[in-house]
Amino acid sequence: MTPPAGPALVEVQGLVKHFPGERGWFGLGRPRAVVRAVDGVSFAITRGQTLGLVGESGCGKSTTGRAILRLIEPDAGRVTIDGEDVLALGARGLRTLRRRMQIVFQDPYGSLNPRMTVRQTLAEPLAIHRIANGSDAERRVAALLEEVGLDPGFGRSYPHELSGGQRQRVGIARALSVEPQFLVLDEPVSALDVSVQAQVLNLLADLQQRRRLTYLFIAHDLAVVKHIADQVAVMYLGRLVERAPASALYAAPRHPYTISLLSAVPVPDPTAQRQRIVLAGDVPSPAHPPPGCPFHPRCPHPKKNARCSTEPPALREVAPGQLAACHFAEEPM
Amino acid sequence: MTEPLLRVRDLQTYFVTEHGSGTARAVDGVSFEVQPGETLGIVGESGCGKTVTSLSILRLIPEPPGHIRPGSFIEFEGRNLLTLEPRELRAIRGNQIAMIFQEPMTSLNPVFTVGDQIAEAAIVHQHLSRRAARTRAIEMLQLVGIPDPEERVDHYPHQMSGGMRQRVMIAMALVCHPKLLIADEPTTALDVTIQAQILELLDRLQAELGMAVMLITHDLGVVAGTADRVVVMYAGQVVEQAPTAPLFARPLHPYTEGLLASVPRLDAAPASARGRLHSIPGQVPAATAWPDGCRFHPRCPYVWDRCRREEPPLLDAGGGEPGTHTVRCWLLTEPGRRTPRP
Amino acid sequence: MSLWNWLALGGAAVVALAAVAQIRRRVTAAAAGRRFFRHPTAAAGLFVLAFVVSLALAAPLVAPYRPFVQIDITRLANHAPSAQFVLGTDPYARDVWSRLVFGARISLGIGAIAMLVAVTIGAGVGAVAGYFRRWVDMTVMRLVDVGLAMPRIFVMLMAVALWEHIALPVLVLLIGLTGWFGTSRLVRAEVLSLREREFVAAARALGAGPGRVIFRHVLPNVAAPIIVSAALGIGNVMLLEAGLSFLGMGVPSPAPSWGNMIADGWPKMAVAPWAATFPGLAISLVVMALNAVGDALRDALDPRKETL
Repeated sequence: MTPPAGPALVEVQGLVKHFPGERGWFGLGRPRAVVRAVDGVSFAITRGQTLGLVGESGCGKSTTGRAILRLIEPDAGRVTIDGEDVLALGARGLRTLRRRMQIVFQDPYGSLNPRMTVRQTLAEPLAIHRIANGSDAERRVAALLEEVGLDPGFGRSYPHELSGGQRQRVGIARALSVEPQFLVLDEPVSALDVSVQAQVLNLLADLQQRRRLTYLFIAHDLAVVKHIADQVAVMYLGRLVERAPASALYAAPRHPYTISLLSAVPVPDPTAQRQRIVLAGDVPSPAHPPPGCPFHPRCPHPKKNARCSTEPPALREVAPGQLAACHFAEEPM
Repeated sequence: MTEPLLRVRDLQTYFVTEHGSGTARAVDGVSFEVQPGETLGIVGESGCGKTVTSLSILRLIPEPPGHIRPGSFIEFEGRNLLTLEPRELRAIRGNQIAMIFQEPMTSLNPVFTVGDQIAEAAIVHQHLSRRAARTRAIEMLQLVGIPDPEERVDHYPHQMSGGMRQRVMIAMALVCHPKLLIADEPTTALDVTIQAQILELLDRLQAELGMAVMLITHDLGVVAGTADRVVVMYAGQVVEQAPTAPLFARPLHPYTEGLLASVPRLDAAPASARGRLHSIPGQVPAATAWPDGCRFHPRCPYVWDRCRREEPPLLDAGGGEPGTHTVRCWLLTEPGRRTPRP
Repeated sequence: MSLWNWLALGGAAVVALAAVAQIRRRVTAAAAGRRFFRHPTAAAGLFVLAFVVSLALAAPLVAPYRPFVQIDITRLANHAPSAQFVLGTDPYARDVWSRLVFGARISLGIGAIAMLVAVTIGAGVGAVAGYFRRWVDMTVMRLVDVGLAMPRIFVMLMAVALWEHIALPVLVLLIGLTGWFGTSRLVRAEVLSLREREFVAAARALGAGPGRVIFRHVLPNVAAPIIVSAALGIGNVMLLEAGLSFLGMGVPSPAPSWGNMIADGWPKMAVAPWAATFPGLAISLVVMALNAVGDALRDALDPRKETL
C-alpha cells in the first residue's frame, strides 16, 4: 500500500464533544457526569482516499463523523476541508459547505422519509441548493438512480416498497446529488445482508474512482474496513488509540486493543489456527472513563504497570507512519 | 451412527398474508438432524427461514397468521413434538430444549430481577423451593462467568451491559441442563470483543454440560469457529449441508460459493484485499413468490435450462457416508457445467 | 313534511351510503384502510357522519319550514310529532325537524372550524416546541400547562359574559383558542421522537433549514395523532357548544343550534319532551360516531401495526 500521496482534503485536529450528563431538579440541579464522547481526535484524509474509523459501540466514531459535518456542534477542535475552517462558518457559509461534504447513514429503513417518494427525496437537495428544478431536476434524478445501479422507474416508489440494499443505494444517491467532494459513511453496510453488502461496497469503490471522492468510512467490522480503507484509525472511549496505513495496521498492529480486536474477529476458515485473545470485562461507559490509559483495566499486555493507570499515553509514532497511544507499543505482546 | 437428538423432516411453515399478497412459504420443506453433543450451524441471510425454523421446533409460531403444515415432522428423542399436548410441550420447553434470542434487552423482563428470571425455570420444571431456586440462580450466574453473583442476582436487566444480559439469558436457558440449546443469532447485537467472550462461554458450557447446540447466524466466521456441521438455507429450503471443514474448503452449492466469496475477509492477502468483492447479483426473492424450478436460478452464474424448469432435490455429494454432504443443485448431475468464473 | 322532503331525505341517505362505499373501495387498498374497516363501528360511524353532513348540506330541500318560522304560536306550540311536524314543534311553535336539520349546519360547522383552529395552532406550537427544545420548549410548554389548567367552560363563560353581544365567528374562534393545548402536547411528544430519526438528520445534512425540516419532514409524519386528535376534538367542541348554548351563552337565538334547541325545549320537558330530546339524541349520535371513527383511525394509523 503506498503511503498517502498528495495534500489532505480533510483535516481534523483535537476534536472534542462532551455531552453533559442528566441534571436532577428539573434541570436546575448540579450536572451529573459528563459523557466524553469524543475526547481529542486528530487525523487527516488525503484527497481521493478512504480513512476507516473503527471501534466498538460507544467509542465515539459516529459522533466524530457527525461533528465533522456539524450535525452535532463540536465543543473544541479544528476541522478544515480544502483549507477552509468548517467550525468558523456561519449559517449561510454552512449551507454552502453542505454541498461539499455529505453523509450516508447506517439504517436504510430510518434514513429515508417514509412519506416521500424516491424522486422527491432525491429532488429535494437540488431544490434546497437551487441546483436544478423542473425537467432538469427530473433528468438529474434519473441519472443519479442509474449511477447507483437502480432502475429510474424506482423514482415513483416509497421507501417501504424497497429492499434494504435498494434503500441504501437511494441514500447514497441523495448524498451524491449535491456533488460533494467528501462523504462520511456512517456504518453504511452494517445493516445489510452479506450478499448485498458486497454489492454496495463495490458501488462505493466505483463511485470513489469515478467521482474522485474522499471517504471517512466509519464501521465496527474490521474485515470490511480492511477491504476499503487506505488508512485506519482505531477509537476507544473517545480517543484514538492507533492510526496507521491499512496494510501496516493489519499486518503488524501495535496497540493492545487493536491486537485484541483483530484477534476477536471470527474468520470464515475452520482450519485457521488463531491465538484468540479474549478480553475480560465490558466496555466501560464513556461517562466514567478509567484514569490514565482508558484501556488499562482490560489490557492484556504483559508489561502493563502502575504507569498505565495514572499517565494517559500520547498518540506517538511507534513505527514509520504508524501511531499508537500505548506506553509499551514497541514491546511485543 | 447414534440416534439423532433432534430430527426435522419436511418442515413447512407458512404464513397467511392479508389481502391478496398470497401465502408466505417461509419454511418450505426443511430437513436436518442434530446429534447429541454436536454443534449444528444454520446459516443464511434474512428471509431464508432460519429463525422461523427454530421457532417452529418449539412451536412458538403465532397460529394465525402462521401455521405448521401437516406432513411436517419434528422428533426429539423419539417423540413427535408436533403432536404433543400443550402440557407435555411445556414440560420440554426450557427444560429439555432451551432457546436464547438475539436481543437480550427485549428478551428479559425489565421488571423482574435477573435472579427471579433464572429461578423461574427451575421452579417450574424442577419444582424447587424459592430458596433452593435462588441458590441455583447464583450457581448459574457463576457458571456463565458473571462476577459477584451473590450481588448480581438481585439486579435488574437495565443495570447490566449487553454482554452480561446475554450471559443471563444463557444462564436462564441452561438452568435445567437442557439437552439441546437453540441459539438464534446470540452474538449479532454484541460488540466483537464481547462476542468473542460469549462464543468462548458457549464453547466451554457445551463441553461441560455435554449438550447439543443449534446455532443460527448469518455470520460465516462464527460458524466456521464453532460448528461441527453446517446447514445453509436459502429461500425457505436447505441448499447445502455438510461438516464444517469440507463446506468451507469446497462449497458445492453456487449460493454457498457466492456467499463465501463475497464476504470481506480479515485473512485476505493484502494484494487481493482491495479490489472488487465478488457479489451475488440480484436479491433474495419474496417468500410469497419463490421462483420456479431452482429457487436460486435467477442469481446463479451456472444456470441452464433444467434449473429454470425443475426444482432439484437434495442430492448426495459423496465424501464419506451417504448423507454427510448433500447439495440441492443440478450441477451434481452435470459437473461439467461448473465452468470457472471469469 | 311533503313528499319532496321525504324524497330529499332518502336521497341524502343514498348519497351517504354511496360516499361510504366509495371511501371503502379507495381506502382498503392500503393496509391502514383495511385496519380501519375491520372495526364494525367504523363504517357505521362514517355513515352517520356522512348522512348528517348531507342532511345539513341539503337542509333547504329536506326541511319543510324555515327554521326561524313560528308557525302558529297560539295553537301549534308544543305540538306532538305528527305527519306534518315529524318531530313535533318546540315551545315557540317552530318545527323541530327543520330546526334540527338547519341546526346541524351550525353545530357541525362550529365543531369543524373550531377544531381546525385548535389543531392548527396546537400542531404548530407543538412542532416548534418539540423541534427547538431547550428554552423555547420550556417557555412554550409552561404556557400550555397554564392553558390546560384553565377550566375551559369557565373561560368561555367569562369571555361571553364580558362581551356584550358575541358574534358567532368570534365565539368559534374563542372555542378554538381555548382548545389547542392538548394537541400541542401530543404533537410535541411525537416531534421529540421524530427529530431523532435519521431522515431528519439527513435533511439537515443536506442543508435544509428548520422551516423545511419541520413542515416537509417532521409534520407529515406526525399526521396520525393529529388526525385522531381532530376527529375526537370535533365531538368535544360540539359538546362544549351545546353546554354553552344550554346556559344561554352560546349561539344566539333564533338561529338554531342543537345546544340552544335543548335550552329552548328544556322548560317544557314534562309536557313536550320531543323538543329537547331529539337535538340531544342528535348530539349523542354524532359524538358517538366521531368517537368510533376516531378510535378506528387511531388503530389504523398506528405505525407499530405496520408489518413488513
